[in-house]
Amino acid sequence: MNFFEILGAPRRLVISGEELERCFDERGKRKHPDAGGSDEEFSSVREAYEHLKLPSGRIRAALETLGSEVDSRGAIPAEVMEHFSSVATVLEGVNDVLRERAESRSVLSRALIDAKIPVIKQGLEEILSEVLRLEDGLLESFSEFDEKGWRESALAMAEVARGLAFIEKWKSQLQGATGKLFEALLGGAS
Amino acid sequence: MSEVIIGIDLGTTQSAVAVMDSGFSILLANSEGESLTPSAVWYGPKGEVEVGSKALRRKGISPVVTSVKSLMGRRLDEVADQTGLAEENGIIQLKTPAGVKTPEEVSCEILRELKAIAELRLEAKVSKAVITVPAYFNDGQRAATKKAGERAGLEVVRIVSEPTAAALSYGLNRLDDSVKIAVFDLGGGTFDVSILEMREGVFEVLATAGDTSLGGDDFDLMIVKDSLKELGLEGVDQFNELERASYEAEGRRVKHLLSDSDEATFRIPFKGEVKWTRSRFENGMKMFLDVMESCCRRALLDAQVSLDDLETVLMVGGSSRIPIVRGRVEEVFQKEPDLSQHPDEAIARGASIQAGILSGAIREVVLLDVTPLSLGVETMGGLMNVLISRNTTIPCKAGEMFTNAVDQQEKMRVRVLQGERELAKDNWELGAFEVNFRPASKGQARVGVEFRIDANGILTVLARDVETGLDTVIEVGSAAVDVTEARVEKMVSESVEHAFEDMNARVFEEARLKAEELLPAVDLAITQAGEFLNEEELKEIANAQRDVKIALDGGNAPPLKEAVEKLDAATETLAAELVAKATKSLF
Repeated sequence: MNFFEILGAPRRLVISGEELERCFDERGKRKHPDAGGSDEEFSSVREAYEHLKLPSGRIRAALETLGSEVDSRGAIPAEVMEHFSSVATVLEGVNDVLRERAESRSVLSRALIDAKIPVIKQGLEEILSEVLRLEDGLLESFSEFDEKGWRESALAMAEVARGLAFIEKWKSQLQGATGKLFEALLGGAS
Repeated sequence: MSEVIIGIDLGTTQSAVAVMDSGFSILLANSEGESLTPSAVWYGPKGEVEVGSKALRRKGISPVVTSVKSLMGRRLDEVADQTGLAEENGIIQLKTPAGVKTPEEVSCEILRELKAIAELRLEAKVSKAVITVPAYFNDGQRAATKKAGERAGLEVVRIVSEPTAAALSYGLNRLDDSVKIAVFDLGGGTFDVSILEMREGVFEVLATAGDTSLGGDDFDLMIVKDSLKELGLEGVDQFNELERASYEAEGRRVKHLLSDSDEATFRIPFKGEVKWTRSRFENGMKMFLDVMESCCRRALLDAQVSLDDLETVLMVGGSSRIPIVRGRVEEVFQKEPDLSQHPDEAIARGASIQAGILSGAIREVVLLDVTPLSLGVETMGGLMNVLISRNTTIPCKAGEMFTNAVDQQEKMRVRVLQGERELAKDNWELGAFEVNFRPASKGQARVGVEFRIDANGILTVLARDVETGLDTVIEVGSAAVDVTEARVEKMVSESVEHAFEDMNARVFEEARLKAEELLPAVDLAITQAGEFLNEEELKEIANAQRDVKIALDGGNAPPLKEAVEKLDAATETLAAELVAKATKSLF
């Protein structure tokens, strides 16, 4: 499956979100069931878009066009390794607060926990910006891979893809944790 | 000419039908010349049926079915006001002089009337329609609406979300723009908020949130309840259906008046009058406004859109006329709301635009909507395993592999759920189906199940035998059978609870734990937010604290429970201030 082809995107790792979105809009408009396409066709365009949107997915898709795959068990960039425990600590902190909150028996003690949430959220934001910085660093290698050729860079690309996969997971976990804090505070509709 | 597809806004209190003509959306007026037809149905004892204003005129003389939309695709135990309702096989039954009717059948009468209006105005037969539903409608509610349309002789070519339709109506004349907007849609019985991105003809819904049982009807009822309370006539339940209908109409009249003037009087003939000021009404609205605000924040959060990115917030739906609602919207979105669309007509117009897209009359426009609720299956341990998360663009699909857990297992029952809660039982159960395994030893028989949500937001389930590669469509059975199961379960657990309640020791223990948590919390909270309280409130808290301490020493359950409850109540404002302070610092 060649996601670049399905989406009609240029065969490049360096590609902006806006450019991908334009490809998606153009293809999507033609393949949408309302415009003469089908559910099936539209779903695969969307699937290609979802893959290519993520930097790690883009590398995977690139290597797949060469007939090779990213082995998920190989080396991980050192700078990513260093962040495992700090991310985990922050996430655990959020879980602790949410658990404490769920177990509290009175509105008032829950309110006291809620009063701590802004500080925790700040901690989340700090680690998140750290992770984003890390991601930017890894993305810098993309232009090099494009220039040198994907086949020649395959090993390095796989390592970067593994690192990015962790970063993307952390990003979604950290954003998810922020969301849970918000939802705890906002309550109401569920 | 391509075949006409009409667009229908099937509302809680009123409905409308529109059609595209030479690039414009035209609302079709009923035989009385009105573009809005009340969603009211009257059944006569000989089976006669009247719809719209004709039906409404009988209100007060004979029972008339209104707000049936709030019953669509629901189970009886989800409905707050169950007067005149019964349930059979998990389907709500309404008692009428013409016999028992389902919500689907009543909706069908309204749709039939709208179809007739369209045929009258277009002087042609109409057989296809786009029908709108609240964005937050689940699969069951959408499917029930579609069936009602088919029963009325209409091929329902698409179910569209109401706020999305409103956005189409807003955006059709500015297809060159690339902007993000919010749509706030508060109707007679439902509330939705959607965040959309419009990019040169692509209308993409980024996130949606809402409450399918919150709308203008609730505000009327709030006025009625509060007025009756003041007159010493508490409890709406003691009145018959006709009396209640007239009180609700009076509540609605007062609500409408208070949108333009500062005072209005609620009158019940021979029983009395109640003075309403706008501020009294606005006080009563607070609870509803808070729910709306939290939905808006959730949608913004899910869409990952900041307030600065939003070009505008579009307000539609009849209840968007209420000044305090506008005020809260402006406060939350930090911009003046856009009121350019007719609150009662925008949705029907949007439906006709989607109809135009589907018939090919409008090109270069495509609508990408999302599924409002997460879809998943129940896993071992009663948890929900999410397969398609909320706000995923539709159409979409997800697969799950099921395998036999023991040797020669013939089949496995899979429960399909929709909702956002972690525990399966807290979510809405769409139904259940059985996966059939071929005879094999443990872990050897494997069946892949594909869940597809189509562009209507309606689910189909396909099973593929891994061995043979054969696909079969699985019928997801109604959850009716399990409802009774769940009810029995609930009753059992309740009865156990009641048995424990008599046990003094247990009650005391619970109250003690709560008291021990609460006492230090009060002191801490006062140091953090005490400045928001006046002397009287502080004194009340101190008294309640003292009473709890005395009751703790007393060792008796009832007084301790009572004292703790009093302390709980006394610290309510304090708790609210703490949360408000924290919430503010987040945005």
